[in-house]
Order: sequence, then C-alpha cells, then structure tokens
Amino acid sequence: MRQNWWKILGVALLLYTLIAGLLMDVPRLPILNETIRALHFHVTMWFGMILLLIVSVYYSVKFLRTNDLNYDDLAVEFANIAIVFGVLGIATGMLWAQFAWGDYWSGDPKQNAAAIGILMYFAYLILRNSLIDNHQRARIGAIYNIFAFAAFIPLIFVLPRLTDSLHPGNGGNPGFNAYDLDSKLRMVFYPAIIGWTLFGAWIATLRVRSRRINREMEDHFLNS
Amino acid sequence: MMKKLLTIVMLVFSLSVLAQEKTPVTEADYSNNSVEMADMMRSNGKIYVLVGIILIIFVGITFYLVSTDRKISKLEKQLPAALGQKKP
Repeated sequence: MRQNWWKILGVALLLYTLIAGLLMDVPRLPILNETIRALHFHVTMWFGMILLLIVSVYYSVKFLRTNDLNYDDLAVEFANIAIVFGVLGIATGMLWAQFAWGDYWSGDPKQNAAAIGILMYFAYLILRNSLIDNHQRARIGAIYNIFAFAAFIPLIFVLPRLTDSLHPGNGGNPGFNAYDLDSKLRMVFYPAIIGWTLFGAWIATLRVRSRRINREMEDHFLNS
Repeated sequence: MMKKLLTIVMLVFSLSVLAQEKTPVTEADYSNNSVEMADMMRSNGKIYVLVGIILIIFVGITFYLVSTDRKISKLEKQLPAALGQKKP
C-alpha cells in the first residue's frame, strides 16, 4: 500500500462520481433533460485526456534531456491512455449529439477539431511503430509528441471558440450554455475530472511497468 | 520546486479562462417541472437499481485492475536483482 494512495483516491472519486453524478439534483433544462449528467462522463474524458497528455509531454521533454528510455515508457503509455480517453470522448459525444443536436456528426467545429486531434495521435502511434531502433523511436516519438500537443490545444480550445459552434461557450450559442458554471454540478464535475485522470494514470503505470519488465528480460537474455 | 509549483498554479488558473460568455443556471431551473426528467424512475426506485448495476461493473473492473497490479508487482520482484533497480 506504500505509494498506492492515489489509486484508492481515484477509485473513491469515481465511485462518488457514479453515485452523485447519477442521483444528485440537476438543473431541468429543455432539450438536455437528464443527458446533462453526461457532463460528468463525456466532458471529463476530454479534461482527463488533456491532463494525461500534459504528463506525457513532460516525460517526452525529460527523455530528450536525459536519453533515458524509462522516461520514454512513461511518455508513450500516458499518451496511449489519453488516446483511449479521446476515443471514448468522441464516441460518447456522438451519442449525446444525436439526442441533443439531432445528428451523430453535425460537422461542429469542435467535433471536427477533436477528430483531427485524435488522428494526429493515431499518427503518433503509427510513427513510433514504424521505427525499429528503440532510441530512434523514442527520440522521434518524443519530438512528434511535443509538436502534436502544441497543435492539439489550439485545435480544441482556441479555434472552435473563434467561430459558431454547438458546444457550450463557443460563438453565439446561448441555448444550453453555462451548465458547467453551476455550483451544484461543479461539486461532481471537478472530482470527476480528478477521478478519471487518476484512474487513467493507474492504467498507464501498469503498462509502463510491464513494458519495463519486458525490456529488462530482453536485455538480460541478450547479454547472457 | 518553486518553478514547478508556479507552473501548476498557472495551469489551474488557465482553466478558469474556459468559462466565458455563459448564461447562468438559476434555482428556477432546478424546480422547473415543465421539463421532462426521469422522475418516474426515482419515484418507483428503479434508478437505484441502475446505479447499483453500474457500480457493480465499476467495482469489478477495479478489482481486475488491482489483481493486474499485484501480478506485475510479483513479476518485478522475480526479476534478477541486479536489474529492476530505481526507475523514474
């Protein structure tokens, strides 16, 4: 249990999210109805993704400064789980959009930008897998990861805000705005972000550890 | 250390920039009965069944993750002692 407190915290926060997120009073808004609760599940996927990507970029920079492959393990696995969150974010968003906006895909600027962002990260994985040498793969992967993040943030946070978008807080869309400003919703929303992020980090560290065991075994058998 | 702290604080503040140009939700929205919600499920208690089902799945997945965690810890201990030392 030494250093596992954050895993327990993450699971506890998610238990709270599931119970309070589904049962607590929510504003009764037209069109949204009960789907407003997706705030705690769909929107938090994207926030979790961003936070995990920040960790990934941090370790990419660390790798470039030290050339230690252990940092590369962290960078790629945090990016992996962030991509999983992103795909889940797109999928949940499409389902929600079908009922709130009337179409799975309405070419909303933020939807399009998010799709481009996800494709950029798919390219990251393909790029890595196309290189054979461990160090070269880590190096090129780290540089790509930093550039991808630098493009991703304006893609989903800045550009959609410059035009009209169906997403709340973008352009002239007052219909169902601001539900994320409501203090009662925030009581679940913020813990949910932390909970999902910690849960994702847990999965990432498991894969990091198995990656390292793998590499050490390989090195061991190669040298013996 | 100070630098790191400062970066984190700046990041947290930058999140609040996201909240612009919004019409607030008021108390009236909570008591607005003209909008249809899943009130039936609450009155006949079925929503609690649903929450129970979701919780069982989540707890199940969590236990599976815990057991994976343990397995990996065991493997780490079995590695040759010279290997598997301090990692970032």
